Parts: sequence; C-alpha cells; structure tokens
Amino acid sequence: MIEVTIAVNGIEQRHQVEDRTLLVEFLRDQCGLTGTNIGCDTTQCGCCTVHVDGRAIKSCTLFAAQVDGAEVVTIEGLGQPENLHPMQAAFRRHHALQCGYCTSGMIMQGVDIVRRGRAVDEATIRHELEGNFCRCTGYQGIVEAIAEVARTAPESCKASGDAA
Amino acid sequence: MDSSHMPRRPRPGPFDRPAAELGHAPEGVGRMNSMGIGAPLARIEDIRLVTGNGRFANNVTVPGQLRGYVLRSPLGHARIRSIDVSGALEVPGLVAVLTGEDYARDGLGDMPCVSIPPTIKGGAYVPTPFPALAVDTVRCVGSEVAFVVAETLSAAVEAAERIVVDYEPLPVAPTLEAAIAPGAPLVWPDAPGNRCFYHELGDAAACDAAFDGAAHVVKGRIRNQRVAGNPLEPRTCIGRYDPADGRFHLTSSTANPHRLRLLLSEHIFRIPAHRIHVVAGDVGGGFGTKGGLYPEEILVLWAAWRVGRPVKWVCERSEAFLADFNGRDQIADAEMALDADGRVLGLRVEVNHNLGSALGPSTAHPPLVGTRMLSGVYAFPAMHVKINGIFTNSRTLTTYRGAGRPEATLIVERMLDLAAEKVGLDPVEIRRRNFIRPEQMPYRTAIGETYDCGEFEAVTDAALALADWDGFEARRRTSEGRGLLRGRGLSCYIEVCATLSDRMEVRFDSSGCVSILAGTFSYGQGHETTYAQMVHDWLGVPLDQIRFVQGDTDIIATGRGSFGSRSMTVGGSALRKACENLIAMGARLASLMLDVEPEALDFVDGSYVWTAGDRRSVPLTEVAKTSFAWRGSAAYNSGPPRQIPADLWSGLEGVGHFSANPQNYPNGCYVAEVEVDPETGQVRVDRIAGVDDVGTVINPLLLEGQVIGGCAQAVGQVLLEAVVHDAEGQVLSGAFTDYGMPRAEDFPHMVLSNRPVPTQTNPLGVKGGAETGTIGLPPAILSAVLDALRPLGVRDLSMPLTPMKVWAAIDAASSAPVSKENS
Ligand code: FES
Ligand code: FES
Repeated sequence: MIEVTIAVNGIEQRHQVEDRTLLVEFLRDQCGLTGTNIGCDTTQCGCCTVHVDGRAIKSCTLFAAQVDGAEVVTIEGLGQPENLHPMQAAFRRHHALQCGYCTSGMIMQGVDIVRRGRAVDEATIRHELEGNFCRCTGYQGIVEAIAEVARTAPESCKASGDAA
Repeated sequence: MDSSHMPRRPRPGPFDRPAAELGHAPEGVGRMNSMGIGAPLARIEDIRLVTGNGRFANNVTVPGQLRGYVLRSPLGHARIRSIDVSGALEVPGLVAVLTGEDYARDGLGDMPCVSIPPTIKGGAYVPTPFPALAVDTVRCVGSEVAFVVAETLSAAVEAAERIVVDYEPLPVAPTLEAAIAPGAPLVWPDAPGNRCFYHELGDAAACDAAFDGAAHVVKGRIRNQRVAGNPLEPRTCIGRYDPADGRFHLTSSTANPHRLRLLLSEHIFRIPAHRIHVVAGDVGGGFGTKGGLYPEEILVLWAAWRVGRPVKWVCERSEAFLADFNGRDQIADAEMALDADGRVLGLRVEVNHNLGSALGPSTAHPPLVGTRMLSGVYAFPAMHVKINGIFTNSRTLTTYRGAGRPEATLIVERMLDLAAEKVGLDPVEIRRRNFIRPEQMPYRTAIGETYDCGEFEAVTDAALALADWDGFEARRRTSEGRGLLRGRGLSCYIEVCATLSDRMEVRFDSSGCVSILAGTFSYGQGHETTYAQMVHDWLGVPLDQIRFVQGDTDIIATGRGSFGSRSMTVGGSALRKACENLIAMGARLASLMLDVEPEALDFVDGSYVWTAGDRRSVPLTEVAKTSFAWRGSAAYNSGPPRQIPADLWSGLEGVGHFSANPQNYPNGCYVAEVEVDPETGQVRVDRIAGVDDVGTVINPLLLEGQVIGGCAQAVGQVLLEAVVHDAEGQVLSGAFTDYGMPRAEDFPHMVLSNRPVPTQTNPLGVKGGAETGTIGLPPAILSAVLDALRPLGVRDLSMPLTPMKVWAAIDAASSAPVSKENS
C-alpha cells in the first residue's frame, strides 16, 4: 500500500492504495466519483477519459501512483446540473448521448479536442475520436456538439495552465 | 377567471431543476413553440448523464458486499470428470466456491426458453437443460463452471485460478457450417443433425407451381454472421438476500426488470414473485442482449442467500465476449422465380439459424419472428420458408437490434439484386415492378403477415431523391480520378413492431405534479422525455412538473420492458389511456367544484371548461390538489362547497393498458454509396441516406438519434464486426482489440428523413422507430460494394467486408480466366 495525493476537481484527495490501483479505480472507489465509467479491459473504449494536468487521458491506463501530485478533472468537475459546461450543454442539445455510458469520456475528450484546436472540421473531429467508442449514437451528434463548442465557446475548453 | 388559480411560475429558487429546452432541430423540422408531441425537445435524462450522475449498476455499492467471479470453460465441448476446489479454499478472503452440484442440490431451476411457441411445426423441439453452473458437460467456451465469492475481486480471481477442473474433451461443432455438415459432432445427443426445431411458413405446392412457370430462376446463399451486441456498459449485478423480509433483492444492468422477476420467480427459485425485488437504474445500452435472464443474475442472488452477504458481479469486457449472448448468425439458401418482365412469381427460402449451445429466454425469437418478414415490401404471390434452429458449440443466441428482421431483409434485397442482374433490369426498376401498392392495403403476404398501410414506392422515391441517386455518375467519375471504385446500392425494408401488452400509470401528488410510472423500460431510448412530452400535451402539465419512474418492481406494478421498437406504440398508447382515465376521474371532481355536470365539461389545454355554458373552468392541477384536501370538501370560485366522495378524495390517478393487435409495420428505403480502394480492399462508406415511415413522430431529435444509431450498427456489421471461432471453438474475437467496433471515422454524415404514413392500429398513429437503420441499411451497403467491384468481376461477398476479404475477392476475380456465374 502506498499513499497517493491527487487534486481531483480542485479538492485534495489523499488515500492509501495498492501499487496496482488504477487511476480510474482511485477516482471511483476511493473518491466516490462514479461519473467516470469503465467500458473495457484493453484501453480501447475511452469511457474512462479524464483530464490529468489539463490533458485528456484514459484513466484506466495509469496507476494512481503515477499521477501522485497531479491535478485531475473528472466529469463531475466540469459542470453541474444547474451550471452545465458548454460541452455538456452542447451534447444535450445535439442529442449526442443515448445510454450515456460513453458520455463522460466523450465530453472530456471533446473538451480536449477543442482545447488543442483540433476541432477544425468534421473529418478531423472524427479522427480525434478514434480512442472513444459509442455504441448508441453513431457519433453524429457527438461530432456536431464538439464542432459547435469549437465555434461558439472555445475558451471554455482551456485548461487552467493554458495561455489565455 | 381568478388568476390565483393559474399554475404559478415563481422565479427560479435554490432547489429548482434546469428548465426544459428544445434541442438542435433535425433538418426539415420547423421551429416550434410547443414542447409536446412533435417537438425536438432536448432530453430530460441528459442532465444527469452529462454530469456524471448516471445511476449505473456498477455505481452501486452495498455495505458488506462481496465480489463474485465466474470460472468459465476454456473448452468448446467437454465432459467434466471432476472439480477440485481445495486449493481455492486456502486463498485468504475466500468466502465460497459454488459448483453445478451445489446448484442442483439447492434445487434451482434451469434457464428457461420462452421463445418457441406451441404452434411450432410438429409441436415439439429439443429442450436444453441450462443450469447457471454446468453439471457434467460444458458445451461452449465461456460456460459457467464455478462461482467464486470472496472479500475482494483479486481474491476471487486468485481462488478461481486454483480450482482444478478435469475435462475430457469432446468433438466440437463451433459454427453453423460445422454443425450442419454431414456427420457433425452432436452438441446434444438427442438432437440429430444438431436440429433443435423445424418450422415452415407458406405453401410448398403453390411455390413449386410458381417455379414451374418461371422464365428466370436465381439462387443465392446469404450468410449473416454472428455479432456481439457490445453495449458499452458491461453487465453488472448485485444480489442481496434480506432475512428480515425473506426477499431476494437484485440490482442489475438488465434491460427488463419485470421479465427478470418473472423468470426468476417462475423458473429459477420457484417462489412467489413478491419475494423477488429487481431494480435497474440507468442502463448503458442493451440492443436486445440485456433483456433476458443471464446465469450471473441467478448466481449473485443464490450466493448472497447462501453466504448471508450481498454479492456483486461485474463483467469484464473480454469476459463479455464469452458471457454475453450473441446475435444474428444465419445461413439462408434462397431461390427466386420470376417472369420474363422481372415480376417475382415465387420465393423459396431455407434458413439455418445458429441457436448456440443452449436455449436462453429469447433464443428462438430471431429465426421465428424474422422470417415472418421475408416478403419484404413486395407482392410475392407464392412463398415457402423452411426454418431450422441449429445447435452449435457457441454461446447462446439472443435478440440483437432487429432480431431476425435484418437477416430477412438481407435475403429479400440480395435476391432482388441477383434477379435484377439476371433479368437485365435496373435495381430500382425491379423493385418498382414488385412493390405492394397502397391500393392493395391491407395486404396479406404469402406467408400470412398482414400489412395495414405503407407507401413503399413513394418512400423509395423520397430516399432516391434525398440520396441524389441520379447524381451518382458524376461522383463515380470523381472517385475514379482518385483511383477508387465507387458503387451505390439501395435497400427497401419493412419490419414488424410493438409486441405484447403493457401498462402505464399517471399519478398526481398533492402539489399538483404528476408521475409517470412506466411498464416499459428505457436504456438509452429517452422515454423520460418522450413520455413527458405526451403527458405535457394530454394533461397540460408543465414539463418540470412531470416525473418519470421506471425499473423498480416494487414501485411499478408490472411491465414488459422495451424491445422490438414497442414502447412508443404500446407504452405510448397505454399512457394515453391512462391520461384519459385520469381526465375522466378528474371530471367528476371538477364537476363538484364548478357545479356543472361532468358530461358538460370539456378538457381543453389542461383545464376543465364548461364550453357550452359560461366557460367557467378549473385547471386539472387544481382538481388534483383538491383530491388530496385534508378536509373533504370541494369548492371553486363562488361555487358552494361540496362533500367529496371517497373515491375522489385520495389523490388523482389513471391506469392504462394497451396491446397492439395487429402490430405495426415501419418501412422505408436506404441508399448507400461506397468507395473501394482496389489496391488495399479498403471500403469507405461515403454517403448514407434514408427515408423511414415510422408513422407519427413523437420527438424528431430522438427519432433521428435512434435511426443513426441503428445505421451505425448496420455499418459495423457489414464492414467490421464478427464473432469468430476456431475449429476448437475458441473465440478469436475476444476483446475490443480483436473485434471490429465501429469508430467515428467509419461513418459519413448521414442524411435521414421521415415520410410518415400514420397507422390506424394504435391511437397515436406511431410505428416502431428504433431498429429501422439496423434492419434497412445493411443490404444497401453490401449492394454498393458489389456494384463498385462489378467491373473487376467480383460477384458475391459475405459480411463483414474487411479489407482482407475484399482484396482476396478482387485478387481471385482477376486471376480467374472468366468471371464465373453467381451461384
Ligand atoms: S475503460 Fe479505459 S479505455 Fe476502456
Ligand atoms: S451513448 Fe451509449 S455508448 Fe455512447
């Protein structure tokens, strides 16, 4: 067991974990943040995507201990029901989710695509979604939502460390 | 009217929920002010799902819960000589190891099959014992052999690894091809030829006569491969036995909680249904594969009862490739007889459908229901269909989006393409010559299905226009300039929807808000929104005062869940009746309040109004509040107070039932264009357009989402997906790394539209809208690829059209001296 400290959604989370505890397990089991989902065991699906120090990453690919001291933002930290992040609102407006299981990861990835300035056209957005599966929507609403945020509210996707 | 009785809209308070809003309107949907039926309302459930507040089963942790792990068969077919669990018992944290012997000793029942009707030919089929843990024999890789329960998952896994099972391998028939070959190993000794059942539709003699008089006969073998449903949420369940109330409590990612309760009560535990409580929260997709009963749902309840603590089981993705029931998997041999002008005279089809190694609840549904649709949208005068349900050493078959109807559509459309080529007709023209015409409605097909309505040629013309069918040649030349082969294909489909009955309830609370209690079950379809739109329209209650409840067998009296595109028809119509009953009940109370006979009151925009009189009125929400009045008098405006009769003085509610008899028949036409790279065999779907007739549209935004999602699964099946076994029955496609899940890049922007012909078979005029793309699109893509490859002499291909397969076909065709006749 080792002690790991991660700032999750701005709150310091310090927990004893096993060496092999994955970041996604840390978030779900230790922090109780179950908005980040698990969809596979081979790091293919992207359901578990969160932001680590401002970058989208699949939280099942990292041990919690590897990100000791990092800042993590999960879907819960992005926006709340009464105060949706523009990406969350766009997903809703464009019907970019059905069962909602891929959605947390998709939204975190979508924010990252816009942040990196990669939401330039439909083809590029589709390419950038290569690591995120959605079985329900056929991706069309997801692509539209990301494109809309890139057009209308790109600054909302900046990470805290990004230059203004 | 006294404005103090109007529904008040106070300023947003600290506890208020986000307001309802319209979503992005799909093309062709005009702007609207209403939030009711027909509006592209953004989903209500999205608020929790986009903020990480989904209530998925894996988010539930029960105090004291243990973890369960299933030890599965590593062999495709074997006798179990012995199971030695002694090593497992030494693992720290282990609580219990359960085997098939324990299962039998505790007297639990077998997984039932409830999808073979007594009307099956010969009145009999070969049933299969299917305990949740295997006894004596395993018949596919992944069969449940032992259930290990421990304090932690890692302890359970470690203990499972220490169980020694002595297997005696038996010969394996893992695929349909292997199982129907002469001399194939038998999956079940009492099923010769591995045949579970045989059924027939149509008239063999009439069909023979049609073939005798034919100018042309074409033959085809159509393979519809096995696929995995792969909902992104892996199956999860938590079982708890409560000695305080003597009840079994199950939280599951099931798509059908009430069916689960029924099957567990009747077939597994054989105890009264009230002793079983099933809860499903948000469910991460299902597409038919989560709607039955799975062994693990039995195991967690049984284990919890045995060890006295809750037990949770979470499927791993790779495990799901072995444990989840699969879809499709059919070989069809078809012959079509035509006259000299390309009019179909007769269609003969024999299907062999892979049922897997043991029968689950819905296993026989795809072969038996899908084949009912083999007349497509065409007037085929004579038909004869033979259906063989075949056992193999593979995982159990179940319903997967479309469930037999995609198979049927592929057969019909592929045969018409072959016929068009033979007769020398354009693929559109041959279809025109065979469509059932509107004036022939209601039309009874040669295999006994009666279509009530549909304008098949018109919907096809609409799709061709939307797809710019006639502009193809210019696009083909552009592709050619880039070294790519371009092809186009179309497909017309019809399906059958809305089976069984259902029950809906609307119930006011004391503050004038209404709850919808649904017997159906939404797991992505958006019922929280569509039903609210209906109730908003019918009762005039604002959307934010409507609550939606589903998925708890203690709260919802009964229900049948959502599958086969039934909910808008059956659930919606039952909801309508529930609202009508509620309005009628409320009218009696309104009558006391207004001092007007109930028959004289009209219900207009959420209020009871004496339109024939002085237009005095009272809103329904006020009537509802009055029904909760602590003191039982009703008075409104200047009317005298009246004593409220007892039956109107304990709240206001309505219950509605509906069963669609006859069912309804969504239909439409899809067009696909593809580009094929002849150097690599890579296929890219460049354009998809489709027009559906799904009757009245409740919410165009959600409908479009359902259709696109269905199309995505169609593209997946045609180009990428397949469950692949080796000769020993090992699953080679056992992880997301090996199974072709479609990604965003695999799709073009799809262009879809709706051309409704509302049906009279239900009060809303709706037809099922959730499976159209999965059923209608696949033949169009296959046809487009073959169209592209025609110049190279490739005449036939079977799905999935992977680059390797396409490249090999190109290679074979180019090395063949003469292109061989299609067989
Ligand atoms: S759960 Fe992390 S990629 Fe699938
Ligand atoms: S919304 Fe269900 S997987 Fe994406």
